[in-house]
Parts: sequence; structure tokens; C-alpha cells
Amino acid sequence: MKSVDIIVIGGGLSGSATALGLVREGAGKVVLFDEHLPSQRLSRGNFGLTWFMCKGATHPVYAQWCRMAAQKWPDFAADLKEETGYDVELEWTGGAVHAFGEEEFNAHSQSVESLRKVCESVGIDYPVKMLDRSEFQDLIPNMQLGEDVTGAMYTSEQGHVNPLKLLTALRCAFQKKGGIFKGGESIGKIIPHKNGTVTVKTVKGSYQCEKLVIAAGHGSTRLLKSLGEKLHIYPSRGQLMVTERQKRMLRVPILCVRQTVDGTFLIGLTTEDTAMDTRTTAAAMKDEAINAIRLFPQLAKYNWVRAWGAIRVMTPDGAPIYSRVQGHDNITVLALHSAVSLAPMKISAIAPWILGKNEAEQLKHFTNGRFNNA
Amino acid sequence: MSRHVDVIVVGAGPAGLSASSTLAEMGLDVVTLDEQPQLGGQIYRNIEKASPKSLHLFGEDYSSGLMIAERFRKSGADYENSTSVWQLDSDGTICCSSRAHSRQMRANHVIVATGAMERPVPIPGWTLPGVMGAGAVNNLTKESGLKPSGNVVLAGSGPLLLLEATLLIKKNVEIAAILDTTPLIPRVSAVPPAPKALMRTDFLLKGASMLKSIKDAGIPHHRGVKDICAIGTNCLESVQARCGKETITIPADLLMLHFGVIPNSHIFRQAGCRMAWKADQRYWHPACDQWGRTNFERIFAAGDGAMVSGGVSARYRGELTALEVSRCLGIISGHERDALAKPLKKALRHDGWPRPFVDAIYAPRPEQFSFDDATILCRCENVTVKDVRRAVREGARDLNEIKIMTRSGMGSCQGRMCGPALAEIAAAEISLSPDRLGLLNVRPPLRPVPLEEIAEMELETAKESSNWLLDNKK
Repeated sequence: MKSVDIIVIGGGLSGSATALGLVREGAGKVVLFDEHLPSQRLSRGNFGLTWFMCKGATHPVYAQWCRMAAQKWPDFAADLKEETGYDVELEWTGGAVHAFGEEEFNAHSQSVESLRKVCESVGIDYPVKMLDRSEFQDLIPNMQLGEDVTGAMYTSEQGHVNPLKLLTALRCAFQKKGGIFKGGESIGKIIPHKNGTVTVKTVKGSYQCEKLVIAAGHGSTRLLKSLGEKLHIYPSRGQLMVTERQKRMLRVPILCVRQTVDGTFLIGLTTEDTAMDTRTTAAAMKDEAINAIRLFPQLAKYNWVRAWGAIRVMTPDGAPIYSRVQGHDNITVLALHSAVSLAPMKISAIAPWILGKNEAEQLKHFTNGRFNNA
Repeated sequence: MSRHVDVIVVGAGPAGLSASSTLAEMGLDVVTLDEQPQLGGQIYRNIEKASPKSLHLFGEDYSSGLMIAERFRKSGADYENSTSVWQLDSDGTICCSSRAHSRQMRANHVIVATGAMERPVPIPGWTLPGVMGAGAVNNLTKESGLKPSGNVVLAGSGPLLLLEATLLIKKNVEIAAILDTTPLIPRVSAVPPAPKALMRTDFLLKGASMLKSIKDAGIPHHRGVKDICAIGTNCLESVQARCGKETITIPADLLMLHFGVIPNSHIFRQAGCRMAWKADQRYWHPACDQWGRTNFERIFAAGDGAMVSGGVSARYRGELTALEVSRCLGIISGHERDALAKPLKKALRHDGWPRPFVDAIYAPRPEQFSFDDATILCRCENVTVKDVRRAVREGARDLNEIKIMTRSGMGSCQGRMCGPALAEIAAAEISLSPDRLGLLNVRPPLRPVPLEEIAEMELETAKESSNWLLDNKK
């Protein structure tokens, strides 16, 4: 049995960012397990937005949390580059959600106003405005808008990154700071002991730790079940398409279309209830292509080269779960979508909280227990 | 218009054509889809338009395709050329693109006969103009009678490398050298199957005559060669290799590489078929029963795409698969299927006698491939061998994990060119067999498709049933 200070189960974005936060805080010997499970690759299927706009309409603290995360992104990316040499390709160029027709434009306006009020209630601003068609066109001069486009909601205070580079950089930084990464080693059993330690059994051996973090996406459900707790998450499939590289034309990411630094266009996203089925469907591809071409007709001629599906971790209110496991104060569970956007919070708030250093006031709103009576 | 047919056959090589013919002759509704403009696959490429000169050059191995093509034409199977299948689903639905138009089709069964491809082996300089797969050169000859000029070097291993050399000799192409990476000492595993190979004297004579023609032409045939490099600034200028303790450099205008063939298995992987690792030949193939049925009831694999055993065998296996599909569709009984299969199986056995012997001699060995850090592994995404090694050092233990870290295999070819070597490189780093690192995910579309084609695609939807008596106005 190997003895370590902290074990993090789940080498995706949330697990890796938290593990990095822990070693940066000087948490001792930290081991990060990534199971490489084919079904649980949501961190590999991410669209790559660092986004707060539209989030938290029914959950003011979540809106605040997202905004805090977005603001931390430029420094977070710069630190990673300095530590690892990996450029996560952050472009802090804002973000937009287009509208087709008057009705959608008005609905967007209303949602901006209502989120502004939500943000006021927790004492923050909501720097989002509506752009009419010509303002939107001026923002992205190299992309001709389709004729149905009436405008967009827009903020300058967010951006997009390469989520795969982010994952790579996080794990590299973690290891450079002394963390131990174990790829392809899956977890069989978690055994908490009365003396406050936990034994984690993997396919290759046993480890004993003082604290345990479970961030295994949908795999967390099974692990928590063995600890007697129901994790309130459900699967939601998103399908994405990517085109061949083109010269850079679109610098501002749109919710359903963005152009990456290396020139490919990413087109998304669906929200489907398909349980753990990660396949892609021709029907979704068709819908996404129609929608993207309606927004930017020039996309019609570009070659589509790949599609993939990934299963989001959804919660009933859309906000993340950061929670101590009931009866086991040394075991923490992290379960969320938008892991790219929220990655900086793992460093600044989640890692210190796991170590018992300080607890951000928002965290009490993100317990798993909040859904127990729902 | 969308269609629902009995059987879709993907590929019009020997397996696809024979399967289609057999099914259509039984009166089934068969559509054969092929991405080439002409039927024949790789081995019988351009067979219907082959000149007498070409038929003579390639001999009976090629001209026997005429009969297969003729049977197919008479069979009544629908044939759609220049049609790429870009998605296959386990329920028998496919999406395909032809003439800038995509559509969905559904079949009760799908027979995939996508054949084999040359095993891509990255060597330093393989991206230089002037370095080609031997198969690609062969295709140009069959299609348009082109022949290479200048200093030609052949390098690699396998019977097709020698066959290619003899064809070039017949065409009076001057070959500067053959750099044969086949180890000088055959594997012990080649000994037990040797006696069986002796039962096919025709086959052995063919091999001997190939070697004789190379020798008679006075071509330097270096054996047990290692570390082949293509050297040049803007295009190939010379080829370097290690031959024993000596390093040889040969000025070259064309380097033809060939390292054996492997199943062209992307479509099976995209569909989610269960794959099996063939350890002696170091390749993946769909796991099938004796009729070619994959783990999906409706999806069958036939020919070299299922497992490499050559064109003649592919033809028999295509027919065998078709017999089982006919039985599944209720056209023949199990008893009849077995009776019809009997002579085919016998012919298949006869054809297969030398195969284990040849396979053992030319079995790829990891030590034959020495991958250099600076070599570009993934040509689509410009990823080097070194990048892959770094990802493994940083903890990646699965090819898909390496893919997301390095982008190797993420380009439009989806790892066709880099996948096998990627597995070898990563596996060598952690001293595992390549199959322990999984397989690169293959996603739709199998071929790039313009977005507008998807947007305008007709989707196959279930038609409402109606009362045929009332609808029938007659």
C-alpha cells in the first residue's frame, strides 16, 4: 500500500485543474488518476469557450461564479504558458450569441436585461449589450452575415481557448510541480476508514490518502454510490462538427460557431437526452450545418472533416456541484459542465477549500445536498 | 430519392463484386457503392478499360478480374461509382456522397468490402515529393499506363515489393536498387507452415521467377536493410540506408515504399464494430464469424478489409458472405447455403496454403522500424515522433489521449497515415504491445464533405404505411 496525501480521481479538466491547485498550495504528495475511459471524455469533447454570458439566469450565485471565473482567465492562461510552455491559445476577444429574426432579437434583449437584474442582486455588473445587425457585422468584418441575422448579444469580457491544450497544460504543470499522474489506471474501490484516511484500490494496487477528490464525470456516480450518496447529475449529449483549416476570419467566438487559432471552424452544439450514447447522428449534423450556414453562408463551401459527441455532466439547476461527501469530510466531489470556463476557480477557490484553508462564500450554494429534497 | 434495399455492398473490388453478383443473381435488391470511378478495386483497378498491353503486363493475376467484372455487370446489381460512404451505422443505415450530393440509404444488411491499404511507415523525409507508396505507382500504371522515370529505388518488405519490381523491369524501368528490410534470418514461425506451401508449386514458381527476374536484370538487391531515409531539400535527391555495418547512399528521383498491406478498417471502427488485433501481422481487423458477420447482426465484412489474404481469397470470401446474407434474408436455406459454400471453402483452402508461410517470412517486426525523433508522423497535423514521445512521458496511456494532446490522427485522414506507427511508437516507449493502447476513434465523415452537402442531405425517414389494396388504382 502506497501512502500519499491527496488522491484526485479523474484526469479531466476539473480534476486536473484541482490537482494543479493542490500542488501549487503545497498540499504534499498528490496523485491524479485518469482512467482514460472512452465514454467519459467530456473534457476532450469541449467546445472551448471561456464564457459567462447567459449563465445563471435562475441562480444568481452561479452567475457571479461564472463571471469571477471569466475574469481570472487571462492570468490563468499566462501562468500555464510560463509553467509548461504549452500555449492554450486563449483569445480574449469577447463572445456573441446571434439572433435570427426580430422575435429572437427581442428575446435576447430581454434575457440580457433580466440577467443584469440577477447580477445586481449579488452586487456585480453584467457587461453584455445588444448589437444590431450592422454593429454585429462590424465586429466580425471578414464573415458575411446571413440575411436572417438581426443582431447579437455581445460581451467583450470573455473569450475562447483550445480545451485540449488546456488539459495537456494542466496535467503537465501538475507534474512539473511534483504531482504524480497515472494514466489508464482505473479505480475499483474506495474504502474510508474511521481514522480519517481513505484507501483507494485501483487495478494496479492500493493507495492510502488523507483526502480524496472525486472528479470522474459520470463515473463519479458509481463511486459516490459506494459511499452511500446519490450524486445529482444526469447525462446530456452535445454533438460537434469541425471543418478543414481556413485562413483566420472569425476572431470573436459565436455560441454555435468559432474559428480556432489554427483555422478550423468548430460548429455546435446539440443538447440531447441520450443517456451515455456518445455517437453522432446524421440528423444533428444536418441541423447544425443548416444553422451555421444560415449564420455565415460562406461556411457552405468548407469541408467538414470530423464530428464527435460528448456527454455533459448536467445538474438539475445547471450550476456545479462542489460538495463534501456526507459523513466523510475528507472526501470531496466535483461534478459540473462548463469545465473550461470554470477551470480557474479550481485553482483559486476549490483547491484551498479542499485543504481547509478558506471557504469561498459561494460554495455553500453548490452542495450536492441542495437537490436532496427536489 | 432515399431507398431501402436488401443489401448495400461497400467496395467494388474482388470481394464486393463477387458478393454483389451472388446476391443479385438470387434476385435480391443490391446496391454496390464504390469510391473509384471504375470498378475493380485496387487489384483489378481499371480492368474494364485495360489495354491489351496492360493486361499482358500484369498477367493472369490481373486479367482474371475481367470475368469477375463481367459477371457483376450481368448480375443486375445496381452499381454507383464515385460514391463515398462517409458514415455507417450499426442498424444498416449509411450516408454517402456522390457528385456533390449526400444522401442516406438503409439496407437490411451491409457488406463492407473496403479492401486493404499499404501499411504506412513514416521514415525520415517521407513527406518529400518523390516519395510514394508502391501501390500508388502501381495504380497510376493501371489507370493511365504511366511509368516512373529517372532513378527509381524500391524500399520496404513483402511479396508485393518484389512483384512491383518485376513489373517495373518488364516495363524497362531502370531500378537503381531494392532496399529490402525483410530480416535475413526468417522467423522460426516460418518453418511449420513451409511444407504446406510446397503443395502449391505454382505459387513457389512465381516467387522464384520474381527473384530470378530481379537478379537477371542486375538490380542491386540489398537485404536486411535498416534505417531508410529519404534525403532532399525541396524534393527527393537520394536515399540512405544502413546495410549491415555499411551506410549506403543512392541518388534517387523516386522512392517507392512498401511495407506490406493491412485491412482498410476505418469504416468498421467508425461504425463501432468490435476490432481484433492480429498479433503476428500487427494490425487490427473487425472481429467476424466464419461468414464475415461482425458483432453487429446487419454488418458483414468481406475480403481483405476483414483480414488480408489476397485478391483470390477475397473473391471466395465475398461469395461466402453473400450466401449467409441470402440465408438471413430467407432466400436460401441453411442447408443450401452449406452446399453452395462447400466448393468455395475448398478453393479457399487451396488458395490459402502458402499464406501462413509468406505471412511468417514477411511478418513485421518492431525492430525493423526505427523511428527518428524528428520524423513527421502525422502529415495532416505536422506532429513529430518526438511530440508523441513527450505525450507518453507526460502520462498518456491510450492512443486517443495522445491524439488529443498532440493532434496526431486529428486531421482529415483521421489517422489512416499515422495511426499504425503512432501505436508502435507509443507502445515501444512503455514496452507494451500496441493493442494495449487502444485504437484511435474514427468519426464521421470518413471522407471530408462540404457543409452545404450535409445541410441539403436527404434523410431516410420511416415511410408511413398505407393500405396497398386501396392505393393500387389498377
